[in-house]
Amino acid sequence: MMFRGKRGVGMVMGTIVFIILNVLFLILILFAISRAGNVGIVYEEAYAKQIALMINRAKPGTIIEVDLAELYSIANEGGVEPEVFINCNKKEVFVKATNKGGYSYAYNGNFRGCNDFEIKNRKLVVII
Amino acid sequence: MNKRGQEKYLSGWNIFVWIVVGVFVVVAIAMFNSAETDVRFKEAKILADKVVDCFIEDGRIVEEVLMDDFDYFVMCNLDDEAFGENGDFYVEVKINNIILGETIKNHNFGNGEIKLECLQGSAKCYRGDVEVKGMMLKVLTASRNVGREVT
Repeated sequence: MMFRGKRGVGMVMGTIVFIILNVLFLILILFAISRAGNVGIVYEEAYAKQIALMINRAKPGTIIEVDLAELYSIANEGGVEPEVFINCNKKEVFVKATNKGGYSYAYNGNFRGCNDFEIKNRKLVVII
Repeated sequence: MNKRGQEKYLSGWNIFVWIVVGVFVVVAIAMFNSAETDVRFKEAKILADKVVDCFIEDGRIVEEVLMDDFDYFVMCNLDDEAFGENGDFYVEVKINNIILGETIKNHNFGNGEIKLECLQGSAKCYRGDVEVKGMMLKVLTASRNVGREVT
């Protein structure tokens, strides 16, 4: 009887350990996927860098137009109002498409017109 | 005996499935994260193109470039604050006379330490040579500009 009882407890413990390990594994997978699946962060970085490089390359008088439609759709999927801002005091392009905080990237081109940019019909227009 | 055998068999399969799924997830995430997002080299290349553009006009070196009071920032449309001592950019241009084999002008501005960082990998450098009517422009530009996540 004692032997049977030990076997029973062992089987229950084994099943519990098995379930706990499975749940842990699933949580790990879900955590990894949710972290990697947040494309909004990637879009923030990509747009900030693209706009900064365009400002760097542009000659005075150039008008830069950047289509933000994709950024808007990604942000709206996450229920966030996107922000694109050129901070000419810090010399940075700031892009936000998630509810986390946004991404900033510095430029070195001579863009001094703090007010010479606007968003029209989901397009960023910058006058260098 | 059969039941015990089945349990053993199943747990082995279970571990195998975990490993397979885990490997797929790790590979997928690694592929996603390895996408090219480092633009420092492109930034350095753009900087070099811009400097060469303002040093050369109509197929010859602009005369002002050879003067000591040449204002890079105004002439090359660059932001002087971005090229401070603690800035993230560096530019070096040597103008060599090919016939005489000597350097006739040496321009450098920005944070000179970044040039050394290129060897360590924390900055990216671009080097290029442009030949213009007996002169050789040796351009080196560097960027260690990394963006930041705002929290």
